[in-house]
Amino acid sequence: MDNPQRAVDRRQTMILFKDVSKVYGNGVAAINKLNMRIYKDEFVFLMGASGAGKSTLIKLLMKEEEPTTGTISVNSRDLSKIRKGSVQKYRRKIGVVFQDFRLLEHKTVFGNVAFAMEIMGKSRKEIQEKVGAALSLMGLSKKADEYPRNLSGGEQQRVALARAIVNSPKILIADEPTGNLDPANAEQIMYLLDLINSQGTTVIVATHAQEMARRMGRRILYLDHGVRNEELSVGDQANHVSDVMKDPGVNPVNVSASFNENAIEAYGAEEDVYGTLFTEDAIDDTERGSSDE
Amino acid sequence: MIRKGEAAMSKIRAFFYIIKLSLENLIKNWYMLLASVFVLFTGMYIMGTLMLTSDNISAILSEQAEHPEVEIICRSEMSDDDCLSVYRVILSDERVSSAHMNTKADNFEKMKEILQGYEELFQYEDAQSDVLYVSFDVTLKSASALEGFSTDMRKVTGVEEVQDNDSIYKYFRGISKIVRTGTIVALIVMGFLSVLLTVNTIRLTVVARKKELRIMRDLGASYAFMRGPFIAEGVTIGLLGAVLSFFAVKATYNYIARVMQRSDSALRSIINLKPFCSYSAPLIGGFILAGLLVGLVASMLAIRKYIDTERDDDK
Repeated sequence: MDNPQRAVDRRQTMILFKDVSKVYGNGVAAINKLNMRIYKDEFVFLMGASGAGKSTLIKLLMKEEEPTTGTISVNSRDLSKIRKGSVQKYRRKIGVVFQDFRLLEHKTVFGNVAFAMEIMGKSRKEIQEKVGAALSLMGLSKKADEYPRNLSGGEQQRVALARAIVNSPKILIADEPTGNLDPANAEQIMYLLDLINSQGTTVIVATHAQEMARRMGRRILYLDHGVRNEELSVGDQANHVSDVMKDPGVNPVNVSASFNENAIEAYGAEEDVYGTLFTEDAIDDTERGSSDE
Repeated sequence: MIRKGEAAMSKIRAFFYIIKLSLENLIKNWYMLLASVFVLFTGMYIMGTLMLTSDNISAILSEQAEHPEVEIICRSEMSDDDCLSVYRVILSDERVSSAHMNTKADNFEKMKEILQGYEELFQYEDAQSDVLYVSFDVTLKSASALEGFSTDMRKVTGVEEVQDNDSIYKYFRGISKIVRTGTIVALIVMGFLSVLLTVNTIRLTVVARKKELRIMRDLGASYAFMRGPFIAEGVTIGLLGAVLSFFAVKATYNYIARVMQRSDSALRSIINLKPFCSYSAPLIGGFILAGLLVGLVASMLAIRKYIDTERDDDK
């Protein structure tokens, strides 16, 4: 059952691509006149063959690349107007997860997640509190002192997810997050992404896992150097879970039980972690950033 | 107000985090740290030594330019009394500032002093002061008068020789020119080598931390935060090189000064080294500035190149 306020929020545009094209120096046109709108709080899948422009789209969103033509707006802000010195501040509002996890081998699970806060000069107390909550949400509290090499692929991806959300981003981008995982772990990750989305974070997942995307019952954008087609899939279990989880009164542990037994097997999210991670204060922190450019 | 305080605290924490990271990097790549510091040390040591040598030679030359000295030697067959006429000619010359007469006995004593250890030479019957000559130490009012005065004195009856040390000072001027040129060449070569090796040291750590940097960039770390550890690393290398070379130059200089003290009086009268303390402040200041400059330039070059090409790696 949807919260009415959320239904209104959902109509607010978070990301807008207007006639965006990207042609690389070697003449390859990765994206051609792409028009796309993603709403606030929305969970969107980006699908398409290799080379269809998914990675380029993510790079454009991360402002790693500039569009050759067209405009991109995020939260009503034209990305081309962001000065070079402010690009990093902008990136702090975006959490990102990759297929290859990108964890630091010499840091523990806790250290990897804390790293995202340390580089912003957060206090030790705040780091302890938020990292603890993020790990708890990901079911990794007991693995805090382990090194990535001792973790399974699914656990490593959950560490990457914890790191991506620990600074309470407005947008979470996952580039093939389940590409290196077995189906059970892939489902866990999808469940967690859904959980994060339910707390108001716009989630964009680039994936080849078509079947899983359909089962999630979320909007799918098919990319072929531009949006070729849009499809709102009608999911089964997953669709039900997504809706149920938006009810603030529902305990996530119970929700996960109705989602898929396999998906929650390896972890147990604690019910009070949202309060720590997704409060308005936390979002304010992200807004503030540190003026160290 | 609270937000300003938090921002300031966050900057302080970030600063200490940067220092911690740079120290970790330096310890991890200690062999390259040693190599960089050694090159910087060698460069500064050579430059420092050359500069002090050049300055001392300049001091000697300027002393000579201000107070040119001439030694006038009379014929050995002339007695002390015979030479008084020459002394009168010298004193009456307007170009002369002061003059001192060394009798045959004075010069004999000087010779004995110089030939210490060869006392047997003076045991012969005819080894008397009488075999030596009378000489005059003359200080002129200006260096421009040196050549004319020497020429005039050579014409005076009884004068055997006029030593104006011009050849010695020409020799010093030659050395000074070589040292100055050498300092400039050393400055360019060693400066270039120091920057090159420091760039490579820092680049090694940049490459080793490539993944970490990419993660930092994705997480939104500020550019200052990403560059900070490498700049701190370069600055540390520069400072270490500066301090070590300062002490090495000091030790070398003091050693040479001690050797000069023990040398014969003739050499000591010409070469009088300035005390090292007169160089301490400008030398350590200059070294630290040069070290900081090399460290900063090297680290900026190393990071700029990497950060500019980093995006290409992802394509």
